[in-house]
Amino acid sequence: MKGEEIMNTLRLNPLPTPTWNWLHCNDTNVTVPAGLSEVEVQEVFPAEAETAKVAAADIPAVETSAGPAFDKYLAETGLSAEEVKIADKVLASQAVNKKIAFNANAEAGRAVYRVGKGASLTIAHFFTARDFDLAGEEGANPKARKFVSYDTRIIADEEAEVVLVDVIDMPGDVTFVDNIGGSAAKSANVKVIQVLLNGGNVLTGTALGLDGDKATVQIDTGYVVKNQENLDINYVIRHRGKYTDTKIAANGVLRDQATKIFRDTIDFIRGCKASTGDEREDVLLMNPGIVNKSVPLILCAEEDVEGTHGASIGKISDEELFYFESRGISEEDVQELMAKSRIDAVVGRIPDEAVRTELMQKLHPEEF
Amino acid sequence: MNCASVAPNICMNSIGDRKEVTMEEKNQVNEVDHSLYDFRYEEKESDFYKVQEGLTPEIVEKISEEKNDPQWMHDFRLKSLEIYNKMQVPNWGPSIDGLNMNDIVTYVRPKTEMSAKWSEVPDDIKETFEKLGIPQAERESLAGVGAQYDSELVYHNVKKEVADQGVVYTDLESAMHGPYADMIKEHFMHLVTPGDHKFAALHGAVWSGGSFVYVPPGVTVEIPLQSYFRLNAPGAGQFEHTLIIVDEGANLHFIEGCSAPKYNVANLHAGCVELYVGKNAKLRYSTIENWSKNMYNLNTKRATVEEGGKMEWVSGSFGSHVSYLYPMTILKGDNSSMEFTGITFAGEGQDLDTGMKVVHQGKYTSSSVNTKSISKSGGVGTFRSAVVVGTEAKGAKAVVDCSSLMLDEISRSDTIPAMDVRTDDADIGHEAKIGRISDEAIFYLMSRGISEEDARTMIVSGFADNVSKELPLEYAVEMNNLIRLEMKGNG
Repeated sequence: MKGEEIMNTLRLNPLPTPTWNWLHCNDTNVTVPAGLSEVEVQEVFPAEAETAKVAAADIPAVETSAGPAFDKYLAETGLSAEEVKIADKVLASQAVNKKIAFNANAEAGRAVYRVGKGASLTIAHFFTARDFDLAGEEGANPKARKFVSYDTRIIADEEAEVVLVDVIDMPGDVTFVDNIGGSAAKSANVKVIQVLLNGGNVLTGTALGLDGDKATVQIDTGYVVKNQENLDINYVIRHRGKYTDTKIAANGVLRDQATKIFRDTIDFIRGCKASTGDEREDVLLMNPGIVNKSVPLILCAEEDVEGTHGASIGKISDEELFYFESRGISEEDVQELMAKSRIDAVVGRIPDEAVRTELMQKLHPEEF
Repeated sequence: MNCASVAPNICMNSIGDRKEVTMEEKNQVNEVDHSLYDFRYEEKESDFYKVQEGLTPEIVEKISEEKNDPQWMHDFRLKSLEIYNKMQVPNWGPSIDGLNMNDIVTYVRPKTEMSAKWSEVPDDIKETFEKLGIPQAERESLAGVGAQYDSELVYHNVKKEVADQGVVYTDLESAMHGPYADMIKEHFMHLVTPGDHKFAALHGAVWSGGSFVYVPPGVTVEIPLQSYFRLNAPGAGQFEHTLIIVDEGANLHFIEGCSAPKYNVANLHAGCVELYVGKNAKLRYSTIENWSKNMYNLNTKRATVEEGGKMEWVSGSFGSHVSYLYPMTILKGDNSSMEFTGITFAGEGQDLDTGMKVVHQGKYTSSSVNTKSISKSGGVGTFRSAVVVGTEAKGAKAVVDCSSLMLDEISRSDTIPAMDVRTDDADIGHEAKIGRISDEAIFYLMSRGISEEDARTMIVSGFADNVSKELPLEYAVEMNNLIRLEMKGNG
């Protein structure tokens, strides 16, 4: 039994270039179940979309945030994917809207989005899980209890515009691996907007190859991590094309005994001339018991690039607190306000109005 | 380029005339012969005693016997060897596959005793250090000097007025048998333990040479002390240990310089520096390292700082084939602080992985880091850092600013910082940027009659300004010379 546990423990969300082991930030050990079953998804597609089932072997092999160990594991499970295709020059009239509600342990799903030349598509993934109980499942590895996963791959063809909105609202005792990868061809633009509301143990991120010249990516993340929750993010952007550009902005709040690790990597590969990349992280620390780890990498093998990184990690300043308190707002309310404002700011940047409104309704039902 | 290190050669050229430096003299400095440090004294076997290559308990026993170790040190060496044999080489960082410990001679002793009189040092060794400018520098700008040749100190001297203040600056081996024996036993490899990493364990087993400095409470040493390490023997390792204790309210600036001629076989430097900064004390530790480019520089430096104390690092890394160098500071006491200023220049055939680590333990501690990294001619420069803020470190402040400059399209520059914060009451900032010299800046300078090569050199020197302004003048001049030489493609 012990041997089986070791076999099923994978090192996920790996840092592309490792650093000191004592920092425990090179990757994260996750114990996974031996097999996966397909999660039931409530989904709406735009009329222009073509959908099809794709066998595990035919799923595009792109780098993903959870890393090669997880890709291998997924391939071994044989889980197929649902492919959504938008033809060249077609602008999807509405978003792909998926409600992915996990109902049992070891449920997972896979999705491939192929967006043609000059086409556009918005994808919205709303992740939740019911409070399922695994008691009585014989042989289940206790460490892998309540493991669920979703695998998303985006292939953006030349001049395609793709927006992925990823909303995570999971119960406290579930490990959720949200594996995202993709590639962007010449002049394609990919936007990833991630909103992390709740989640006991969430591993997410995005790996994207800016393979064509002038391909661009913007990642905008808002999170609130609280109680004993753990959030593990891994962004890896590989600049291969010339004139490519990355912008990553993560804004979050850590409360109670929450832990968070934020890995983000901009990799300028030789030949990606005139490319630029910028990573920004702003973390608000609200309670003494938190653990905040940040590992922002810039890897550079090309002379003609500009890469920047900035991080600001701290508590609400005394001046800010004084400003609010002098207006009759308690410290607790200020904290609540700051957390909400960070999430709202990210939600406000969702370009698709229907998806934005749906999420705002979820966050602020009293206002609708 | 083959050249080397610290400023003392410049001391010969310019210190005395510093107030009246003419344009001609400036040119002379700029045109310093870059082969200066690559001379070697052709050794005869009879000039040296050395142990066999490789690493066995017998070799460690032999070194211990040679050093006349007290029993605790003898046991410590053997225990360290056991740890060394159990530990793996790092699974991160540059490759050290070219380093075979079975080929490295861990102890090479010149057949001479350490002397406090320069005239008593053997001619060949004296000539080596004369060329490096050591005694000249001592006369003109230093409070004391230690000169190590291969595994042993050959010269150690401290100015009388400094010694009269109660400052101890001597070699570690003789200090172990003197009145400071207990102090050394209490501090030796307590900051950097043999279990820290494989090469710390190696150091614990085979260390030899190095300095012991003790600055008594309240004493300010007005001018710097310096140690200079020269590794002359091919295929050898240098494992000097530097132990500095700056007691309460005291103040010291210590300068370390290193160089070696280039051989075709791998040389290894696995030194260890342990710095204890007392309550309200201040220590500045400056290094301009320019090992030859066959050197594996796997050096470990660490400081612990008590309440109100301050640690300042100034670090320039120019030489070696492979470097793993990350001076670490433990801000143990409340209100203690650290400043780190560093530059790394990686040229052809070099993979320099450098950076820093800081651990905030006390309350209201602060750290400030400013580093520059330059990569050229296929060199690989990596900035690696760790800022750790513990649960008790309320009010901690840390600022890290690292910039990298790529000078051509065949080089590489990576930035790998990590932050681990475990209290809400902290203020941590980090900025990094990577890029190249802008065409506009080159054009601006060229339009004013400056050649492109000179324009690029000027810009790189300006980029390195954060370090040069922290160094004593003569060292800053030397560092700029090193940059100039690298820029001329001699790297």
